[in-house]
Amino acid sequence: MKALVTSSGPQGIVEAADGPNGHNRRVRSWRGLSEAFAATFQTVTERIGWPLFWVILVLVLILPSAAFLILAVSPHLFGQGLAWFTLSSFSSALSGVTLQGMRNSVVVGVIAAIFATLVGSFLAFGLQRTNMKGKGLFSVAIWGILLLPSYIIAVGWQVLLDRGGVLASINLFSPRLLNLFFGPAGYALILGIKGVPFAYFAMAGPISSLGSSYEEAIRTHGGGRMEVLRTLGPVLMPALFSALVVVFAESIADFGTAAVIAPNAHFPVATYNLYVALSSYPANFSEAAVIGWMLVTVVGIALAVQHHSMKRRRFATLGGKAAAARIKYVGRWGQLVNLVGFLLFFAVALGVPILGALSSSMLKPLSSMSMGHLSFFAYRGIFNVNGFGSSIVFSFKMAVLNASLAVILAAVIARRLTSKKVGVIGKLLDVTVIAAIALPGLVLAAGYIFVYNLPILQSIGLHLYGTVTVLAMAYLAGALPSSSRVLVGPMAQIQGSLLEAARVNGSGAFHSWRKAVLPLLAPSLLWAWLLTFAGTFLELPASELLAPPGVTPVSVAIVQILNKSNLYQGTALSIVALLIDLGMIVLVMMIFRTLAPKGWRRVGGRVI
Amino acid sequence: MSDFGGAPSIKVDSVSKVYAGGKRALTDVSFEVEAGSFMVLLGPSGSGKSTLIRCIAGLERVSEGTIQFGSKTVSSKGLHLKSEERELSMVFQDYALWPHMTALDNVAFALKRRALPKSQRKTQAISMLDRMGLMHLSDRYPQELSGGEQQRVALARALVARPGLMLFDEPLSNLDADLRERLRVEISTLTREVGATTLYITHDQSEAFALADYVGVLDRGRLVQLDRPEVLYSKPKTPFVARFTGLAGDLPAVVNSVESSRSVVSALDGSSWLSAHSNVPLKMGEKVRILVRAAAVKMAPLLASGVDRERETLSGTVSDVAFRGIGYEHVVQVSDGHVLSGIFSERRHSRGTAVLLSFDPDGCILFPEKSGDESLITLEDQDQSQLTDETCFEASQSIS
Repeated sequence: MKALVTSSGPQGIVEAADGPNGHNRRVRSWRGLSEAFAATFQTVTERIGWPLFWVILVLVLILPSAAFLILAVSPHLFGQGLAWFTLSSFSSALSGVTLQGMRNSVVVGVIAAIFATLVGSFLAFGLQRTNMKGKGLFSVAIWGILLLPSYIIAVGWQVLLDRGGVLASINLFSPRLLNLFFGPAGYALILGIKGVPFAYFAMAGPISSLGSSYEEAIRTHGGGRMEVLRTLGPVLMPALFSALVVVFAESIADFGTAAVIAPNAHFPVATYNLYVALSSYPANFSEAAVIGWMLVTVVGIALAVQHHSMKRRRFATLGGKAAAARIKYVGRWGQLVNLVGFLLFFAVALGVPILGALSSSMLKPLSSMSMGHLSFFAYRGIFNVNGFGSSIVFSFKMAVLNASLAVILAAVIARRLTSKKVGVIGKLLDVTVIAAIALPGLVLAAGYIFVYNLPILQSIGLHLYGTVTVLAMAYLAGALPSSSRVLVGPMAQIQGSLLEAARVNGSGAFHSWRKAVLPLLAPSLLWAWLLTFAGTFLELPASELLAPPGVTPVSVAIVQILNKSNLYQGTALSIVALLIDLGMIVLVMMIFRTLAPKGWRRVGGRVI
Repeated sequence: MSDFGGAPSIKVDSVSKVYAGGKRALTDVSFEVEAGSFMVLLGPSGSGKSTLIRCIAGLERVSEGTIQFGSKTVSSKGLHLKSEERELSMVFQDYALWPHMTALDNVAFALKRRALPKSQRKTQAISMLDRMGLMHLSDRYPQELSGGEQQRVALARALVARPGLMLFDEPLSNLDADLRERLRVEISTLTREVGATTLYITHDQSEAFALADYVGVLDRGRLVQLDRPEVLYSKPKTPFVARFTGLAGDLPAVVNSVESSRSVVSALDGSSWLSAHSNVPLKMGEKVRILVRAAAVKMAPLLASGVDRERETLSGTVSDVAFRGIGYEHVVQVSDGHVLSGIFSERRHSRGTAVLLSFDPDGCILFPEKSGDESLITLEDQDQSQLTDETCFEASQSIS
């Protein structure tokens, strides 16, 4: 009893309960050591953690993008011209192909946003509010589209429609369809498909939490179906608007579709123009920077308008007092209509690209479609040709490294953003993360090329340009905003009292966090890791611009082979890369399910 | 005014509801509500009361049976009049105020069905809000109002068009005790002022008793009793109804003598006995449970007690005491280990005090030990049982 009274914390209890035998002394000393380590760790992180964190943020995110954008107005600052301040790059860029590219991007972005929002809303209503069959499968398919890079969807469609493609092999080649694909329609289709998951996620929450009682209140007070639509439409407006803006921003900033379609199409878009400006010799940094400005401005305006509109009228009762929405039981005909609609969309979004790529990769060159002409020659080729195997290994390593780093940093960012004591630094972080979301990956990569190639860095002995390190930094910068976004929600839901309960029961800070918070966050951390892994493994813009000589990431290899019109090997490599990507997700999920304790696998009331 | 001729009567006849997933929510429910009266459906969660009110509102279809407003059938297996054509209004548990409309717009919405000019709708909505004391909040959005204010706006919306039928789906359950009491009074007076037929569901028996002309008790999808509150309290037809309408506790006993009126009986094992009544016939020596209303128990300290210890008393020990403003409520553990709670005394008896409990037979109801909560009655049974004279039984409490 004496030990219980005098000691504080669990060690005392161990001692009092078990007596002084060897095993328990060991337990105690391990506990003591781990607590001591935790205390030291905490002190160190408190002292140098935040400064170090900001140094990382500045180096990977803020400095490259800011310097690149400043370059457009002050070339002399970076030894690129005479003027300290000039808008001449803007006046020259705001004409001709550059302006046309921007205009095209905006038009295609708007069409894609409308398409994706319509389809996303339909999917959200079907999956969230009806008893339609196959919900689980369709939900997975939406994640599939999210994970599928736009260039792979574009490649799938291209190999279907191309001269030597799948349709040609069954004598259905149509030049008109091909022309349509290599133009605004093709762009809008691919970007629209890619936008659907974003629109779906924006709409699903509000649609599922728009309590049925709002509708029932209209019906019981004499309003018919039209009145329901008229009255409740505005409640969904913020979500609808948010879906439109997010898809628009993602579409404008997309590089993958442009990388596949633009070399063959006479339809310039902003991201491809930026790429061309950088890859010309000598690189036209000022034009690239101006396009960067235009992209950031358009995306920034869209996000700002959305932010403003959400702020002006937040329908806080959504998901608040209102009871959960009831599931609508649709009859046989309703089921059929839903099913046909869903299958049609997923056939276009996933079926065509994957089947197109699969059949193209297995078809012998210039042969007609038949079982006898199918073979694995292209797949054998991938591993025979020197380099492709190493491409896969390289991208895999980078993806694992980046996912691990990004999740740790994103957790820190999310923790800070959801902290009660936000302060100036918290607000600064908030602004940085929002700005980073508005920053297209290509602009960021361009900033890296520019900043880490500056003579001043070379002169102080910092030779980062053309190294794997700079590519890793760019990957990290690209992944931080999205992985922080994934973690902010779950982090905000962690109640402070959980940690406090652990502390008052005698656990140290680190031990409390590990025991009381980490298990609750585990599924979200896992998701953030997997999303980052999948995104990095097939990442294109930074890989294309920053891969050092002699290193070819998977995405670059795919685009390079395809641009050499080697459809078979290009599609075979896409399929292999996708299988590795999805295989890794499945493997990690299975390991988590097998090894993680049940308490770690709870998401709300479900156990994953 | 209503298509159903002012306030309609409601007739629910053999209504059953099975949901698409196969879950049975209502089984053969029948009752009638007189035009202009206030009926409360009382039951725990899962008893089917929400489903029943939703069927009446036209928000759910019935699987079997019919619902009539006056002489017009609004629901049957093959017929379903849409909610918006039933000329009713409803107040929801979560208020269901449209979040993008001001308090005034929310209230004025209900007048659309009256085909009034917009200006007139606004004037009437304003006057209704004024009547509810919410005039100064008319431009506020729901999220800018407190829970009580939101529910009063919802009440104003339901009342403004003076519907013939008003439905209330647990409207007070999200509010704190004080607010609940004030709003209850408002609901009670305003609905009677409008003259509407009112159907109100709740799981709170005190709310039900305070509001209702008639209370129907639902248990697992069946209507087990429909009566005036006073009858329901004094003559519950099942142990479930007795329990759900408030008990101090229940005690096991054995019937020692059966008489047509209350009389003195000898105690089993010579230590204690109670006098109680039952609505069902009991046999000598039958094992029973005495369901005790808190108001039927009086307590006094064991030593100072003037009550004859040999008769109609039980001894026990105070295990908890709570101050309730006008006096004290005690939890008493009687000598056989059973617990009676909510026993009122103006004086405080500290924990551990030995007390003597005396019982009023009117508040002690006997049910056979084997009668479970599943003992159910039909509408016909109810009518017959109301004709039966009360029979009193005396039972000895078995000290187990």
